[in-house]
Amino acid sequence: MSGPIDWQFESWAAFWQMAGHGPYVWAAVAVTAVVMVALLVAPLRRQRRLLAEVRAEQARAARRAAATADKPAGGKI
Amino acid sequence: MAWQWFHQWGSPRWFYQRSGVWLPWLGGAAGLLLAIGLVWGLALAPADFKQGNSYRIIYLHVPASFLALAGYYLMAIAGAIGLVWKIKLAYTAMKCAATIGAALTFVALFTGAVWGKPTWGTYWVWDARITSMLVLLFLYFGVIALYQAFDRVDVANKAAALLALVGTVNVPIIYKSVDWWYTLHQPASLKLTGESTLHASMLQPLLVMVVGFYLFYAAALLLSMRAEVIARESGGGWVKALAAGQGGGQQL
Repeated sequence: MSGPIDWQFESWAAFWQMAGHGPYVWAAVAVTAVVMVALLVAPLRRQRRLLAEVRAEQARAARRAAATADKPAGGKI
Repeated sequence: MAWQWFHQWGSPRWFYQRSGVWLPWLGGAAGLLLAIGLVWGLALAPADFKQGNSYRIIYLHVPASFLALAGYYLMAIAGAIGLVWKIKLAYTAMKCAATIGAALTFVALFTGAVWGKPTWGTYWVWDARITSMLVLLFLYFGVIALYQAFDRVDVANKAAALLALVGTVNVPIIYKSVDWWYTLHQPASLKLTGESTLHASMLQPLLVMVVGFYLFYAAALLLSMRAEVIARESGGGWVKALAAGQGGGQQL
């Protein structure tokens, strides 16, 4: 029953409380998790934003090209 | 052969494509090991006979501290490679490693503080180990700040690499601080040579977490470097093709 690999807590409540050390342990877990998730999400969001900017620039260039093709004699864009 | 392999790293496009292949494997393995290690460490490993359950913070504190230190070496070595061989991707690695290293050093300090309260009765003490870790955090901040201080990227690269290299002096001091100044922080529980002071039932989940953190670090570094490469190469044809391809995929 008390081998090295056994559930150490009788209930979920006991697991959260950790015999009084719960706030410390769970604060450590929460802050570590938030930082680690941020380290993965931030570069992914940055990359998506950068590629969207490149696409927007391409679309602008395409509109400019289309406008100049329509009015070759320097018409208003 | 070896030189060809080395020079591939000079190509941002090659890096972007290869890292895209590695990332799912790295991320999957990291997630799996971290999940196993966390459940094992928090719920399955026995409580410490002296510290009770607060010791379970070790499963985050030690891996984060390892990576904060190993990440500093990686950053300094990348800076040295950038200075010597002028490989831009090495500077990219250095810049990205600074942010990740600062974040993990913060995690090491924070988890140490909330472990210190129930164990030592205080969140913070100017102990040699803790103070030298704070210096490490400021060294990481210094590298980040240098990038923001210089408008010219090549100047910022060189300045940051120099600071990173000079700062390596601090890393052995951190390692040895618990032996040189025996104040409050306990000596290392994990040793490369010699017997570990942790019981096997507590040590095994810790090793799982350490390997999981290393894999996580690699995944985070690659993700960050990929975004940085895109930012630097945004005028390049391959990035435009990539953006156009992704745009089409998202609209469908």
